[in-house]
Amino acid sequence: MSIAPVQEEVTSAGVDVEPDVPWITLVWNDPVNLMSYVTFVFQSYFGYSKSKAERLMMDVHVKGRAVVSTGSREKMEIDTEALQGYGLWATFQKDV
Amino acid sequence: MARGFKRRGRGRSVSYAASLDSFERHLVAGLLRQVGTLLDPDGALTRAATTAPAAGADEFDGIVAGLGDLGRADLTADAAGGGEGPDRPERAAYDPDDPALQRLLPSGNRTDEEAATEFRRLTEASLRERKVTNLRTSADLLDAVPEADDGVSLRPDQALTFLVALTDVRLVLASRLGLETDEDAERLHHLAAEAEPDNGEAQAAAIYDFLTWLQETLAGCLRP
Repeated sequence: MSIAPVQEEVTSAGVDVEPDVPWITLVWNDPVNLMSYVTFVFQSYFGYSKSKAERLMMDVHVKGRAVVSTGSREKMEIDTEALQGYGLWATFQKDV
Repeated sequence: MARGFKRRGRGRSVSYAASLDSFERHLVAGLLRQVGTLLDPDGALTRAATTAPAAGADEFDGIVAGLGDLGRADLTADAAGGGEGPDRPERAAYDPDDPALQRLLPSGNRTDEEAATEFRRLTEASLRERKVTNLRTSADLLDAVPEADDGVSLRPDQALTFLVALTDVRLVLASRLGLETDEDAERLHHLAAEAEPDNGEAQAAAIYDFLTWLQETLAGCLRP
């Protein structure tokens, strides 16, 4: 896997060391994926409770996107790939 | 008449059962294979070669490949029996710019193009392979049901594979039908209700509706 830029900044920036900015995985709304299916995926992949999975699903549906996990870049890339495997529209990015 | 999935049994013997007649099974299996072919045109990704499209689904063979081109003159000529249009290749080459493929394998990062490229380099091959395996396994499950039988019964792992594969088929059909917003979904639903035999788009919309219903019944009874 690639080296996360967060680590690069820490090692190369020297003077201007940023706090450890976590990365996030986002799921974007689409008109195809069923609410029941998205909830199911959040429960089975992340092991979230039904109520948490439903809350995230509703955020995706109503707000257009939701942060579904946070952590290291490497972990977010793994989550993104897994969710794309389920057909969800998932991306990862630095949390700003 | 199809009946959606229901959970049967409990514990280790749980299964997910639906009732689909042979026409419905061939239709869905054919679509699963078409999307597999879209992701893997030369069959290089899975050891098991794509079997020939099941008999009875022939009239729907072109849905995934051709739907986006319904209005194009050369296809109209083909449909009218004219031989002047350019010969279409047996199988289209893998086209990463195809909007349906872009939806199946979307960019992984919207804010950093370099990160998105790196992510694609690391993940695309395995994602494609997993999807193709899911799609072909699901088609095989449907094709394995005896012709005269209507019962489709799936183990939990098979049900999950089928659930995910149905998503990919719906994503591709939706892309071909220009389904981009929740309003488009409403429009398609109405179009499907008026489906006439000679309207390819309306037929595809009706098939999309059918797959949506089938997936909803499975997602509704599958335990995470």
